Amino acid sequence: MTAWRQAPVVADAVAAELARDLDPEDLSQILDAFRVDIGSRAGELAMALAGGHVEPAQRAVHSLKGAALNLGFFRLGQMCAHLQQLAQTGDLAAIVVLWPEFAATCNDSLGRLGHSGLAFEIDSSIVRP
Amino acid sequence: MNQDLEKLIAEALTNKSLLVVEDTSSSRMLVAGLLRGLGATRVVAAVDGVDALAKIQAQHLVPDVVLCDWVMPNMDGLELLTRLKADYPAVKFIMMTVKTEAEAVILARKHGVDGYVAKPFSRESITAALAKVLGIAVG
Repeated sequence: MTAWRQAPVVADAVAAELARDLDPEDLSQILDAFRVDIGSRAGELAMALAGGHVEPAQRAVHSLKGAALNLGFFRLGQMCAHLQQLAQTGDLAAIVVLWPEFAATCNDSLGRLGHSGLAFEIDSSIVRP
Repeated sequence: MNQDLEKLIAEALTNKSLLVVEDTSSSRMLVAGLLRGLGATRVVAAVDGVDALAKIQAQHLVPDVVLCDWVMPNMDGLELLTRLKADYPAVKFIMMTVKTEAEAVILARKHGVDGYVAKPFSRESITAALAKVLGIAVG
């Protein structure tokens, strides 16, 4: 249930693969886009939780899960997979309880992208576990 | 990855147009970047099925291969697959998705999907799907 806690923030093997397979400029732009994706999807999740809307919550974590796993951000991707399971059962209250850990996991990912602590100043005022 | 296969893929992609449909920008850019790395020179990107159809109509260019996410707002991958196969049966359609359970695969096949890439994807998994839809034998 909490396997994401043992997962690496970034899997070195995936990072190495991406560095091998992509043009350096492309990779830099993709990681910049991922930083934006984290903030926007987290914002969408926060709004969905605040409004009690299951489907947008599910969509936000599904989208962020895919983006994170593709880029090797396993801790965030695996946590999103867990949140998606909760959303699928309609248990938004459980997601709200996990919100501080989700925010910390997002910030750990942002930290690896060189942008720590930017995403959640607004969101944490919307979602109060 | 087999270098001969990648060479064949690169040759096949030089005169092909590809359409990437994915609502998350980093994933969309990642697929496009990997395709360019494999030798594709004509890659168009769209954010969902509606955007994909609009780009096809606006550019009067039917893609040879579509690589498409399944779960998207506005128009999902399955609906885009259905519409494209109805209007342009020759288009090769690769679904990229976490939906890998048998029911989902069967459903996509019923709608005419040509290839399947499980997420998270990699250069290798995209190469294998391209080889399948382009009719390149994997040695």
